[in-house]
Amino acid sequence: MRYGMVIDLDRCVGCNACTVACKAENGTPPGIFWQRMLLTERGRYPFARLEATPLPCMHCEEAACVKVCPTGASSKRKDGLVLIDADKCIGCRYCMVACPYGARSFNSGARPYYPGKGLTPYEKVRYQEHPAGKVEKCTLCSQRVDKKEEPACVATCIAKARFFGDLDDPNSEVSQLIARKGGYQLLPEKGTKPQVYYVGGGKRRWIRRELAKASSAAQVSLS
Amino acid sequence: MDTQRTGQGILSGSSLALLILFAAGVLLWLVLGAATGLGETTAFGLYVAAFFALMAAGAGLLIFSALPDTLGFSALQPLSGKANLLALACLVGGGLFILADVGSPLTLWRMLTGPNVSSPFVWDLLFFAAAFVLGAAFLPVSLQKREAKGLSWVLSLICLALLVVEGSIVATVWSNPLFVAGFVVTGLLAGGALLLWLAPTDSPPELIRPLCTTLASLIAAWLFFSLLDPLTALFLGATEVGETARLILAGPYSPLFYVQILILGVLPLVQFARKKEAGLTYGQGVAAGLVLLGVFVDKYIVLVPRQMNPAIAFPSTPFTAGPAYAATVAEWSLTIALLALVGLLYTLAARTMIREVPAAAQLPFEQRRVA
Ligand code: SF4
Ligand code: SF4
Repeated sequence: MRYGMVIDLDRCVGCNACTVACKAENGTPPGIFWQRMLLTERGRYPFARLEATPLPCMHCEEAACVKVCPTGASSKRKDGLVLIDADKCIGCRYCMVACPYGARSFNSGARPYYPGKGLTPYEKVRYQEHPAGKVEKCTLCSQRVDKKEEPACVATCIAKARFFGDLDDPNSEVSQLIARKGGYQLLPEKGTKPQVYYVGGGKRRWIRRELAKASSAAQVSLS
Repeated sequence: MDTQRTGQGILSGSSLALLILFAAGVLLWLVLGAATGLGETTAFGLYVAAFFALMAAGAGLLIFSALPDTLGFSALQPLSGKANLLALACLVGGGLFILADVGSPLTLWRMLTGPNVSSPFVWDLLFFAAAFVLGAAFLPVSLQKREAKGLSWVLSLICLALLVVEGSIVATVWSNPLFVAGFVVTGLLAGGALLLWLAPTDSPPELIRPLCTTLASLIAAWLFFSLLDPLTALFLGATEVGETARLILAGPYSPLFYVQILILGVLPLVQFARKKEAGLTYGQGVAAGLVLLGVFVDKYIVLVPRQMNPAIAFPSTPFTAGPAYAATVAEWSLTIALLALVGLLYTLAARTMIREVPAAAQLPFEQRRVA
């Protein structure tokens, strides 16, 4: 069993429904996005267009974050999910430096969505899941996966651009898509073997440069 | 520069000054909110830069202190004990900076009790601990000017490994393996420069001349590593690396790069490369000071996010055109306090453990000069 995801860039319309679904499911504070959207302007007027590339954590097989984490707070489950044990995390952020995809965020403290109004009752409850001084990231909705449900972004996607399943099973939808449509990973040269594959989108080679420039959560999110 | 002429009175005066500086710095830090590193929005701040600078100095000094045994550089023997003591003080200071960075002993405890051996951070801690223990074991040997070839080789190799591990941590950040070589060179530079400061003013040329030549060669190597990367990257054209190189050489932060080239490179190189018949000069002492300042600046600008390289987008700080981090007054006051503590620890330990003997008399008989 090796969970993974396929994102069809030809189908993705960049609506950010996945980003919002992730926020609703996981209750992340302002400025922290477990699912980010890289929006890039391509071409010149009058042929300019906006290309959207959804960026979750890649749940890498050779996860750079897991290797460098000094306390073992970042670890890989048997089913392939890379998770963070907040109790063990000391907030050193070495994992953030090591992750080539900028998938991780540091939570420096509970901030309200409505500045000056304090935390709402919803925020008070949800922020208990987001302790300050720790690093956090996409869990592929492990709480849903454990109940045999799809991650929230996959369940929400209005364009049916995201697919979730077992990469070890050649008959799964994800394996079939990768085989049929030539699935590729981002930054393969980093040797991290991402478990999130992309199809379509003209194999976005420019993405390396864009990722290096905009690996912060704020840059590539809804902001 | 240490000198016999300073005498015990000034030594205790300097201890008092260092104690006041330490106390004032800590007090100001507490008043300003006792900022720790990991609680801040930006990781890898001033504390980590100071930690790396002290690790470089400590490891470099220990390598120099073992040189009489490892490479037979006997002229260094009289300084070996002092170098060893100062190295241990630097390592203690480095440990305190790590404590200041992680913010609480509990956090440090977590790191020590649940180590992930694939993490370079853990290797850094292991080599740091090993360097400290071996350095302490070497202290009686260096103070009593005894011979301990095996121990001195193991100590030197562990210190070298410490510098390599720390260089590899930064190499990950910059995706540039040259940083490993850069860290080894700056470690030896910091150690050599401090050694010059420890040398009495009436040190014989047999000690000062090879030391200055070594420092000049190390600076040349540092210049080579520092210039090689941006200059070769320039030829890579419109690539990310090429763009980074152009930003380093001609971007808004290039003044930092050139200042560093000047204070850690050109100026001390000119001073150390000059042929001198006499012993230690004022100019050489100043050049050693520039080297130490340069090593600190080097650690600061390679570690602190985008101080130097705006093309590197660091996590947790939005990509902007300007530096994402500037150390606060609280951070500076604790840094100055802990650096003063290193000086204080050394002066107190040196006072109790080192018996001053005229420099010329400390040389092996055949190397002594008739005045
Ligand atoms: S994308 Fe980054 S955070 Fe996610 S598993 Fe890979 S290296 Fe770790
Ligand atoms: S911030 Fe937390 S998860 Fe990341 S490397 Fe440090 S301890 Fe591990």
